[in-house]
Amino acid sequence: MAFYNSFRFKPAEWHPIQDQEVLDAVVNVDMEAHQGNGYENPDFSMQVVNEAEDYYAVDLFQRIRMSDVKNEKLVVVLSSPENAVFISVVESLNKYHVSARNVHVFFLYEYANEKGEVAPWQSPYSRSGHFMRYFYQRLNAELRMPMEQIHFFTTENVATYSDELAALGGADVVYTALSWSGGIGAIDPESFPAETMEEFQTMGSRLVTPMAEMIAHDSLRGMFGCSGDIANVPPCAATIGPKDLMAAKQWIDVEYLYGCGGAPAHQKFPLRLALFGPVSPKNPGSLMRLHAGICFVDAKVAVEPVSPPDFPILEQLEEIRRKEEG
Amino acid sequence: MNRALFDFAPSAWLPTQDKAVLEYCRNIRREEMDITNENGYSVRVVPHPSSAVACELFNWIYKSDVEDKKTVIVFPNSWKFIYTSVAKMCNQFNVSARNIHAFCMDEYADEDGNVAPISWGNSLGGHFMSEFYMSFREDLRPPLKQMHYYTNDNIKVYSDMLAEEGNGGADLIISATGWIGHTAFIDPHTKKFAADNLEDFLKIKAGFVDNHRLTIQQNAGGARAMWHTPRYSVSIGPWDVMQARDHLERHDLGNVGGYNSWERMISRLQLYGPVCMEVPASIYQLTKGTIYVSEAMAAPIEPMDLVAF
Repeated sequence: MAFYNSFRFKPAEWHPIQDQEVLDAVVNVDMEAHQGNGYENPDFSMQVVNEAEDYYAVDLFQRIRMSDVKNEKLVVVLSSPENAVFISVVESLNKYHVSARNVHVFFLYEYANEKGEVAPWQSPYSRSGHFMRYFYQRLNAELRMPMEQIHFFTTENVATYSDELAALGGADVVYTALSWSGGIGAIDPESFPAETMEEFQTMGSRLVTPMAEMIAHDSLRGMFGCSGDIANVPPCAATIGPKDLMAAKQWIDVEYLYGCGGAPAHQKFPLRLALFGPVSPKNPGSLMRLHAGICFVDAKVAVEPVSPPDFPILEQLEEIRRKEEG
Repeated sequence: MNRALFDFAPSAWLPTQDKAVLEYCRNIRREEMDITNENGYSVRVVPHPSSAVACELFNWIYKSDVEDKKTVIVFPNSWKFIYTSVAKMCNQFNVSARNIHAFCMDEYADEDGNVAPISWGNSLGGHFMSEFYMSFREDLRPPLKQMHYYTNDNIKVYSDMLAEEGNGGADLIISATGWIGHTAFIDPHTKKFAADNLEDFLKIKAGFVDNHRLTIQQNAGGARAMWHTPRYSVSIGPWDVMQARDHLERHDLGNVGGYNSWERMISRLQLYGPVCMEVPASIYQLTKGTIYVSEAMAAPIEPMDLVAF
């Protein structure tokens, strides 16, 4: 009962998972001991690593290289903005003359406004725009993929984005990360309400209004000046769906968002819920356990969330009271 | 950020929807930030608000000692470093806190209205008593009966206790602001602090609060889960803020070296936006006091593309 000690209370009513036993149990799981396989899909594994960004960068770099060497099409879904990773990958692509000509890029999600209009990539509010600035435009011109192979969300294609992806045979690899709200990007329980996992897995791309917690989380991003300026975060999003994730051949999840100086991490608890909580549409991250892939967890995120122990203050005050009363 | 290609309204659940107000506050410049208004409320931008507040708090205690003057202060929590530094310096300079009457600003509660006991590890009152009161040398401590924290028995009379002890109100309220614009747990869009107009809002006293969703997220921080953060609280009300004779606040709750903070935008809204119920802490503009804002907090809000979070 690391979180309660002398005071018990229910979780806020908007959290989809309310089962106290579940919530308490996942806190105390030893992440290190659960590395490797042993999840619902035998080809899914979890690894606790240092500098999880390194794994994202190398994985993406090597897949692009092999698509060049083998001259094979590579369809990726990217969790832009991941600018530091993009820059590192492009450094190697340029240095070693690796061509991205065979790469088709899709995006995990893109911002939209309250009218359902999707941010164009040229807007500073576009997530995909970060890919363009820090990957595409930094890549030597002769190594770039043709522009038509970069599949942006647009106002017109939100509902058919899954079809566009499927027309290319689905993603060879999707890169994801969990939000503070517990969603996979914008795939959160409020936006993808489903009764069963079967139903959940049939849900494709759509326009959503993400949970308040995700919008607030995004306001801490560098693209918004790390300011908490929630009103400067677009209120809606166009996102791929669980169907697209499940149709991918490989799923790489990376958890390394440790703002707040490195010690606290917003993904600590949502990740534990995803890995060790119920497999349920109310727990979107749990979907990855049903799929072949790897979840790279940065050691800072793997740290157990803890609450301070009870204060011995009552006893101390009682002693002071007795002294004062003589 | 340029909205020529893409514009949008703030998320519908945000209390402040006025885009002109948001844009004005977002873009206010450093040289415009140091102000003193007609009520005597001063905004001072300094490199290290914590030490500025520590000096002021030390001075309040010192004056209460040398002038032998009863001094009633409302304390926010947990401000461990300021409280321990001030108490230890009082010990070093033999400054007695015997005249200090302390009231905790707020406390967590459960869904049935039960107040968290001060023995609970996350209790705000528990932090205060452990980090401030217990840090004083025994001969310099205030009598225990002068320390006031929330209990199930005093929620409904907390404002009255404060007014009675302070001859109408506190001598000083110390505070910070929250992501949703609260002071204490005076959250917008709550049943507790719902009012038809600002005048009525300012009359609301202490009580049980159904906190705003964003406050739960802020309270969770990165260290613990939102799922394990209390949904409810007890808090002083706007009435207590207005009754206080002086006010002292800091805006420097930063992350990652100071620049990554939920507080940067809401600080601007509180200080330079309209006085309104939607940003409860803006009511400090109606009072006399000083607010210390960090230089890091005052840095321009602009994209930092190479920083993830």
